[in-house]
Amino acid sequence: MKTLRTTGNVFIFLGLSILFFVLYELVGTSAITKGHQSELQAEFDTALAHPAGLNPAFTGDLPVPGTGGGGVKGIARLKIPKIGVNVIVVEGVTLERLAYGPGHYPQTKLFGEKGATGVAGHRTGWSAPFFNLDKLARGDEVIVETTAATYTYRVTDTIVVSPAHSEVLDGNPKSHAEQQLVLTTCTPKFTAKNRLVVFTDLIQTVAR
Amino acid sequence: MSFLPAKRAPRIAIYVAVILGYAAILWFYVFPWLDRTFINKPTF
Repeated sequence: MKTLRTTGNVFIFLGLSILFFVLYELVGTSAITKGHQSELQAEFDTALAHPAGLNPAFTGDLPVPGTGGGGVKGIARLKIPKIGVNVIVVEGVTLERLAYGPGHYPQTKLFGEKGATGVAGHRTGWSAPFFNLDKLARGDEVIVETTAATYTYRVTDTIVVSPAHSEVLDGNPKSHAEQQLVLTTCTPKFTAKNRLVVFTDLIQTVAR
Repeated sequence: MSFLPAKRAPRIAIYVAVILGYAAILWFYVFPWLDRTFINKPTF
């Protein structure tokens, strides 16, 4: 009887620990990212209003490394109307950076440069900006605002690859567009098993 | 159990301290490791 009771208590203990982990993933991490994004959105609005004035950290399309105090600055605003995404993109894709929002792969081109620009974002926790990335289909629009211009991309393809296939960051091999944006996230949801990759082609640039 | 104080208040205080300590270890060490190892790796 005592063994049964001890076993039951152990399972209750483990169950509560798992529930605590779910709370951490869905509420705790998202609260951290929402706090960061709120600050980044306000800073980015200021930068757009005063591109060459009040905020010297924003100099066109250049990535801005963390400034004084270890702060992380946004480099662009990413909008995906179909899935309700409106987030600030930061430079770098370390997990520390992705806690702020989607990150630009440093080894890929910057927005507005010829070639492929890569952006990674979380799909579980940390506000899950790319939670519904799988809902995107060919023809959907992705909009990127920088202090230099607004870029409109159109989805051309969506694929799932293993984490070893980093060549997807070179862009869609089927596309001939000079500038592409590649969005990556985890798939299936709630696991890090594979990567969901969304290829887009630049279709319009409107300079500021 | 013999290693716990007999009085109720200190006994409860020890229970609370152990639970909070356990929760803190989970929140700040175990959960972040689980997250970055099994749940969240959106990059290449």
